[in-house]
Formats: sequence, structure tokens, C-alpha cells
Amino acid sequence: MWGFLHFLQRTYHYLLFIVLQVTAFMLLVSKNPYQRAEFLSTGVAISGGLYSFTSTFTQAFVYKDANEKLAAENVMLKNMLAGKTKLNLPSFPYSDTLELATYRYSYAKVVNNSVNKLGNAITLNKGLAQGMRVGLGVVSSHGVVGVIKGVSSNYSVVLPIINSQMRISSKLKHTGYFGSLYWDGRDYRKAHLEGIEHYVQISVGDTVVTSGYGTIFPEGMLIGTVDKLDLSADGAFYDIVVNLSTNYKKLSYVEVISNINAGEQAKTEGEQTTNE
Amino acid sequence: MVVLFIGLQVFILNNIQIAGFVNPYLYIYLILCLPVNAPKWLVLSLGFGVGTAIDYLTATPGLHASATVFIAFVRLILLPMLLPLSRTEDENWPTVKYFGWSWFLRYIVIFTLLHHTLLFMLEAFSFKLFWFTAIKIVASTIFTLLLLVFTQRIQYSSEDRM
Repeated sequence: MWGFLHFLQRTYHYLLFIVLQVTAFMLLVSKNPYQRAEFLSTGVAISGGLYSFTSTFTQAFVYKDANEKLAAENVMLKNMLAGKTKLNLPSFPYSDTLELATYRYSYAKVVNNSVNKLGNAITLNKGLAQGMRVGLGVVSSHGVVGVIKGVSSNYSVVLPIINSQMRISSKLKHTGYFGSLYWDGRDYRKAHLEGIEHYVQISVGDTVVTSGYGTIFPEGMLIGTVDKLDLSADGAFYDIVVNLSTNYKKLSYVEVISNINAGEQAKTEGEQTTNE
Repeated sequence: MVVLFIGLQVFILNNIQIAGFVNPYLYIYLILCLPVNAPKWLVLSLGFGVGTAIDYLTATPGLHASATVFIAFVRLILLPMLLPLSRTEDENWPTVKYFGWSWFLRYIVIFTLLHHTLLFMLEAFSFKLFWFTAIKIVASTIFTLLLLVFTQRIQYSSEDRM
């Protein structure tokens, strides 16, 4: 008891200070119109911030279904569009691959993603059972994402452009010159395009798209825009820095492209090389 | 003595208050120059009382009371650390007379800055006008410091003559 009183005697000034300070503060915010308004508006700002914070979560749940529906619808529309790419010349009978829908789209959700390693990878929630195969191209609504490099029955792993092992055949949209796009392992927003000859007219801001060579991507899918130009050490080629159009930090739904004729094309190409 | 001082300071202060943009607050002299061994409850209550008196005269309830109680509290904690170890029992007032000008200047700079910072922050009550508030704090602090030095000077020289 005496100990407690002694303690109180030594520390009462803390208590007294708090009581007086709280009293002054209460007076301040209750009797002064300006401070009162600021005080109240701070309260509103805090609760407002809290509400918008919680609503991002609730909205994520509410819009999850909507997102999925939209992704499915996009894929359906793209498939319809891909089927329409035949030449509309009824008087001229023809039969070739232009008539067919060469590419088929399906969608998948990104369930895991990395942007800060040399060997970045993206995991999708669809696998063999949903028609995913090794070597299919992956794009988002903003542009090319990468290529599927591994599949299990329900998941697939994509090597994105921002994986140092990845190379994608790309070209400059308006000149048509093509080169090889690779990533130097630094910035997830930038890749390098090499193999474009020094005499090609290029300016900053030019669009870089897929070349359409190979069977993975259709021609002309957006990859990014030219950010910086440099000549390589020997002066024969450009080293072009490309601003990637896909934001790898924000990926949620992607589309997987399968080339229906890929097998036939590869087979023909294979026959050709074995013949040589 | 202390009661007399309150009245005097409040009247001086009330007049200086009218000055406008830059407001020196000389009244903190009352708290700063309390005896070193003054009871804690007295220091705190006096801080609150003086602050409230100013608030009453300037129609800003709680504003000066809050800032002054704060420096009164900090003074309780900080003053024993600031005082020179060689202090004797007679040197019971934190004034130039006992501790010299350089010590006194350091002492009043710390507490004036603390008091004015809290006061103007509470007056603005938001960080919207942060730089304007900062300028006010610095300008008023300089003004108050000048007045504090002046006051101390008068007291010092009058005591000298006695």
C-alpha cells in the first residue's frame, strides 16, 4: 500500500499532465469552430479511407464472377473473329488455310506470378485437362505475355517475356523488319530487341509486334513500343530497348492461343529439314 | 510573487497579441523561470492556468492551455538533465544570474521552439498549410526569444543594481 502511494507520489505528474492535456484538447476541439471542423473532417477522412480500403476487398469478391464472365466472353468473340478472317470472294472458288480459323483462344487465370527473378514464371489455373499444351502462346488484353513451358493435369507454367531464357521473334510494325526479343534480367517493364540492321529507319515510340514466324503467336500481336535506340558494338545492328505493353505486376486473366494447324506446319517443316 | 508575475505577464501579453501576423508569446517566461525545485503539481497547474488565462483573453479555449501544459511537463523531465552538475542548492532559478547567458539561451530556445511548434500546429490543426505554419513558428520563435532575452536583461540589471 505504501509502495503504491510512493509510486503514485513519484509519478502523479504524468497523470496530472495527461488529465490537463486531455482537458485542454477537449476544450480546443469542442469550443473552437475551426479546430472542431478540422477534427471532425479528419475523423471522416479516416473512416472514408477505411471504407474504401475494405471495399477493395469486397469488390474483389463481387467482381470475381464478373471478371471471369468477361474473360470467357472475350475468348468467345475472338474465336468468332478468328473464324471470320477468310477472304470474302464468293465468285472465286478457293480452298486454303485462310478459310479456317487458324487460332483458337481460351482463357485462364493467373494464380502465381513473379517479376523480380531472372527465371520469372507465371502459373495458370488450367492444364492438360482444359486443353493446355506445352508451346502455346499466352497473351493478355495488353499484349504478349509468354509461352507455356510446362503442364500438369490442371495447371500450366508460362515462361514470360521477362524470363532470361525466353526469346520471341518480333518485328517493327511499320517497317516489317524482324529481330529477336529477349530480356536482360533487370527491369520487368523493358526488354531488348536485337538483330535489326543499322540502316533500318526506326524512331522512338515505334510499335513492336510478333512476327508471326513460328507457330506460337499470330502475326501482329502487340509486344510494346521502342523506348531507346543504340547501335551494337560492331555497328551492324541496333540494340533496341522495348517498353513492354504487358504490365506483369497486374496480370490476372490471360488468353491462351492454340494454333490449330501448328501440327501440320511443324510436320511439313520437319519433313523439309529431313529431306535436306 | 508568482501571482503578481502572472497578472503582469498576462497584461503585457494581451497587448502584444494584437500585433498581427507574427505573435510573440512572452508568457511562457512564467513557466520557464519557475524555481527548479517547484512542486510538480504546481508547475503543471500553473502551465494550465496561465494557458487558460491567455485562452480566455484571446477567445481560443484550450489552445494555449494545451501548448503550455506541454512545455510545463517537458520542463519537469528535461530541466534536471539540462542543469549543470556543479549546481548548488542556492542556484534554484534557471536564470542568467546563476547559469550564464549561453546556458539560458539554449534553455529558452528549446522550450520556445517546443511551445510555438505545438501552438501553431494546434492552431492550424492540419498539415494543409504546413510551410506557412512552419514560417510562423520560426518567425514567432525568434520574436519571442528576443523578448525573453530582453526581459531577462531587465531583471538581471535591476537585480544587479540592488
